[in-house]
Amino acid sequence: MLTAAEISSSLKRSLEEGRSLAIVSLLERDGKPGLPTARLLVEEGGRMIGGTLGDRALDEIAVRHAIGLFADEKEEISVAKCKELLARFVNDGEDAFDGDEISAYSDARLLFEVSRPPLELIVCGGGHVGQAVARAARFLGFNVTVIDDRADFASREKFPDHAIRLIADDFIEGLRSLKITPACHLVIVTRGHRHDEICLREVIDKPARYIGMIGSRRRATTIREHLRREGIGADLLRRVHAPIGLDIGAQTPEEIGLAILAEIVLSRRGGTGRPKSDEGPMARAR
Amino acid sequence: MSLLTQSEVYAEITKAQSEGRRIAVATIVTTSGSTPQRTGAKLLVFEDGKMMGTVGGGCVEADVWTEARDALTENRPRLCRFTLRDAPDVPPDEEGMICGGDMEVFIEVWS
Repeated sequence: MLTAAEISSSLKRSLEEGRSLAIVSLLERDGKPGLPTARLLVEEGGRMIGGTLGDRALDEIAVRHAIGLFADEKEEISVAKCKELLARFVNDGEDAFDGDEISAYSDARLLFEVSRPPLELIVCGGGHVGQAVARAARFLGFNVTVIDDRADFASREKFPDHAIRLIADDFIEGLRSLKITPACHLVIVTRGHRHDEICLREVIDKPARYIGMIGSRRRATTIREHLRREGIGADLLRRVHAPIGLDIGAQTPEEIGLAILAEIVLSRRGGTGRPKSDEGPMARAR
Repeated sequence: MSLLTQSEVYAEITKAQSEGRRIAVATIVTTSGSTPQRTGAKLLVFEDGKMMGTVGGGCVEADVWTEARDALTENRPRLCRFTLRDAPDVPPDEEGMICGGDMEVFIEVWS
């Protein structure tokens, strides 16, 4: 039985480390709430970090469903019957659980409550694009940090919003002073490709949720080859969004900032990036 | 009143426990129809009747409060279903300010 103090400290620890936490409660079984309420804590990534619903197989089912909730950022809360979850997993072709093992719990109803860490966005480069990215990110509710090695760019004059954290330091030092967690989004938009490459090399193996780097396709190819020759694996390289941003024909810094944030929203929430009207009723008008 | 986060809720329970007070935590787990209530919203009810958080206000909040007081008296968790419709024949959108729909609330007692 988890105590409130244990849940409280687990929440604190997970969120500080930038990982979401699902609190799973056994709402009812045989039509009745349990006494006490059985709980299981599942951290983003699928690790059980405390408690139990009273049955190992049931815990496993809960973990699988929680993993789906972490991936789908729309869902904060979910109520599900054990047998429905089981049927869904079988449908999805995942290896089935032993039905007998959980039959005693098949009518159990579970409540999943997901707590997510605050969204973080780190901008490398305080130039025109960096400023536009920071503003757009604040608008979307991100905690924003800007790093630039030029003190007059990592300045309140350029970033008057006091909620934006400024680091006027060498890019590598600046990045190393930050804890890069799975809640972090990294936007690399420095004044030149040399600095872009330095920043990318520093963060490429970090657990950030999004890494994007500005530049042309040719520039991105050059940097990819440099990193590949240094032994950085294809899995890490493929995560990098470069050239950065959704193709909306952006030209001004503000438009580029919007295109970058649009891509970040897309990567978080899913979607196609296409106009919704493409397949809509108006497009099919005769 | 703003919605309580999980961190706030469990910190508050921990605090109440350390002071030897019991607390009922009501959570909206499902809704259907046009309720203004949000799933996941929590209302904390203390033994002296004081509240924290909100499940959306209005008459429903009073009903949830009453159920929470009963749960505290019984010292048992309960799942309650509420219908938020004065006249079931009237479609929700014709009721103006009155909300329509059903919701399910889980109430747990921490001692």
